[in-house]
Amino acid sequence: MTVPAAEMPPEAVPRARRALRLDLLLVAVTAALLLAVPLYVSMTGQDMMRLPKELLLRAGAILIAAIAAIGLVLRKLSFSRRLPVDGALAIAAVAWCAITTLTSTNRTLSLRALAYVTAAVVVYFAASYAITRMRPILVLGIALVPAIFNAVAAMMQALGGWNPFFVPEELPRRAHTIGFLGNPDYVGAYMVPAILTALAIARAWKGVVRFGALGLVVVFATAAMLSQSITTLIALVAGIVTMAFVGAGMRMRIAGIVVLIAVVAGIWYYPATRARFRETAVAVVELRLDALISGRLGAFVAAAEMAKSRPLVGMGPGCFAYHFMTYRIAAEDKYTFMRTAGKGLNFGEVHNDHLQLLAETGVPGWLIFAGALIALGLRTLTPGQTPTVRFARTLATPLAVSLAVLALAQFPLELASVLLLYIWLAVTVFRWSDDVA
Amino acid sequence: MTLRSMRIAAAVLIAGVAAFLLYRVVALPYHCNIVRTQAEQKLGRAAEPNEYRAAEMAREVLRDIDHCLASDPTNVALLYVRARAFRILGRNEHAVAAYEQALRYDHRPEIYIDLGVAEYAIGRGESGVEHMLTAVRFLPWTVNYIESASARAQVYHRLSALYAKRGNLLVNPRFTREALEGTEMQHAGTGLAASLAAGWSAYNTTGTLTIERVPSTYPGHKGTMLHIKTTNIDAGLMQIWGDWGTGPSKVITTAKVFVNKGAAAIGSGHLLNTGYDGISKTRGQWEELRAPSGSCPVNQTWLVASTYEGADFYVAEVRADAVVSELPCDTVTPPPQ
Repeated sequence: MTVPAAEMPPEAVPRARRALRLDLLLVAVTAALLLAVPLYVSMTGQDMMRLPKELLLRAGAILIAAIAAIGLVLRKLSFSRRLPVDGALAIAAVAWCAITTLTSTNRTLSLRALAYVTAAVVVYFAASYAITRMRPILVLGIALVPAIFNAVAAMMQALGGWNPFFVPEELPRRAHTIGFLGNPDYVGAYMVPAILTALAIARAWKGVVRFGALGLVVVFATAAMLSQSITTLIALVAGIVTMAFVGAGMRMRIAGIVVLIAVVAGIWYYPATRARFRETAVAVVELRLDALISGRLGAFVAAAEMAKSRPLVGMGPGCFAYHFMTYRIAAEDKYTFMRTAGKGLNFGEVHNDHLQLLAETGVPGWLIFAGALIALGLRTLTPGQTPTVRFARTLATPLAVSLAVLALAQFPLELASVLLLYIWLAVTVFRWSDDVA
Repeated sequence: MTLRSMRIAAAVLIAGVAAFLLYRVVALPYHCNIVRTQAEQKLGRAAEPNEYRAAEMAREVLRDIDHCLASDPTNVALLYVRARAFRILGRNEHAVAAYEQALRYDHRPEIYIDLGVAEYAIGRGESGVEHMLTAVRFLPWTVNYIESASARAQVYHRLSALYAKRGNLLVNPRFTREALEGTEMQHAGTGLAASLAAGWSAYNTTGTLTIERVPSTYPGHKGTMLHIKTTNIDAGLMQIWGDWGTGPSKVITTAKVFVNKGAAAIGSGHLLNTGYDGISKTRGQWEELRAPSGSCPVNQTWLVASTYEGADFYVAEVRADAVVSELPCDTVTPPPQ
């Protein structure tokens, strides 16, 4: 905790002020990174969104690490030596990633993936540092402001209004709904934690804040609906159900049911979403597994085969795409059902982060991820009645459940914007529930 | 040197390392992302018929991307651009080297097919065909990029040999696995519907199609067979066993049928282009229909009534076996969106 300058002995004040500046710089860079990544695009690049966001994450992590290192060397920053469970899991993640990089089937590719994971872990610790030094409204603002911009942009794109990006007109409206994130599925994945956060705020605070948060829920949910992403909507429903029924009172349950009915009604009312759900239902009835998971069966089977071939260390971080073609072709020889599964789709990601972790980092890699989700979910058991603790308690399990569900048919861990939002919110839950946990 | 000045020196060093890293892992990739856009646009323009202009563009692209590849020799997108530029310049050996380097970091069908074609052009036929085959097995319509007739024939020969190894390409050839419950179903609509046997669809045009599951009476068979009654032509059973554009170039289809009324036809081919390859000639006795496929590539098999008034027949077993062949398909079209 920072000691106010007024309570320090006079000779310590100038030094403390200097230290405070590095404090502020670290917090400011972290906050700026969280705000900028979901909104940053490069209009001139071949890859306009995903790569630039990832580069920005790298830049932010380098700056954060440099500021922290300089602060330590100059003794102008100090960090707590206590390593919380979430911090230990973050270190375990990067350590396991390093080990599997050593055993990787393609070390060059794995080094790149290791850099990404390291950057995310650096931001994790920076977020942990920043959140304990910021007011709650700023912490929540950093999570929600980029979501507001993205939701408004997605709504305008879906409804045929302003769109700064070129998308061929003949493509369906869904393909236009990309926000500043690059893809309707990314928009959906980004909105899920934003909606759950706004709902948790509405529960934890009262008065104007509550109504404001509920207004944001409507905005974010509209954007999620317009993205027509089935996985998003399932993850959202799973999150809301968890929020309403895990560790909640009767009022919360009723509120949860009302929100759920509103979401389901929204899905039903909007013809495009209804049509997508109908297609999914038909695929379920006809047992067309590949159609049910939007042609991703090839990626799922290839990833499962990779995991089977190297269950302990996987193929190596970032190596799924490198091996995909080989395993996809082999799967066709091995399994009859693969002969009619979507042909020719070259997957860079599995579109299932559980399988991708198993394929690239083996069972231990997935266990670390599962452990992190469980550690997060357990914070629902935190006692206490301050708004921040109530918020942390309300959000903990739904956040973990929504990420687990999203990771079943998308790749939130590989998208810098979605990953950073989940990191920020998870750290918020951990730190705000720390004092009473 | 005092401790304080050592600390300051360390801080400056850290700042220097951070600045270098920012340049190396952020600024350069960002810049090269833009260079790639421009290079691909130039290569697009290099496709124009003016050979001199095309060569100029390709040389310009090679100059533009050089520093990016020097800083990151693992950039697959730029390696691919480099290889394409070399091919425009007719420097296939250099193109092959660039494709091979790209394959060290990513496996994509477009790299495999282009590498195969470039290798074939410089006389590395065996390796070229191998790479082309890998691309075609993954993405069938890449076969269209193989201009050499002999290379195409070799690819199809290898592909058909792989399919031939699989034996019967149909699933549930004796209808032993059930899909729908019950022993009888009717399909009065148009197109495909689930049938009684797993893997098989009921296909109807107009009128009514009835399928019944009955104990097999074919000599030596102990399981079930299907009794098919149609009131119109082209109604019966269909199995799509391969995706659009995939499959061997030639298949031999066989079916054991017992026709009571009308006639039954078998056929294997490429989805909408499947016709009658063989038609039954007898009634009131078991007959084996056997015929080579009529269109290319082959990915579906059907057994339908071939008489306008419909047909009434039993079927005990259907087979579709690939034949090792060098017969190439004319064009393999990608699936409609």
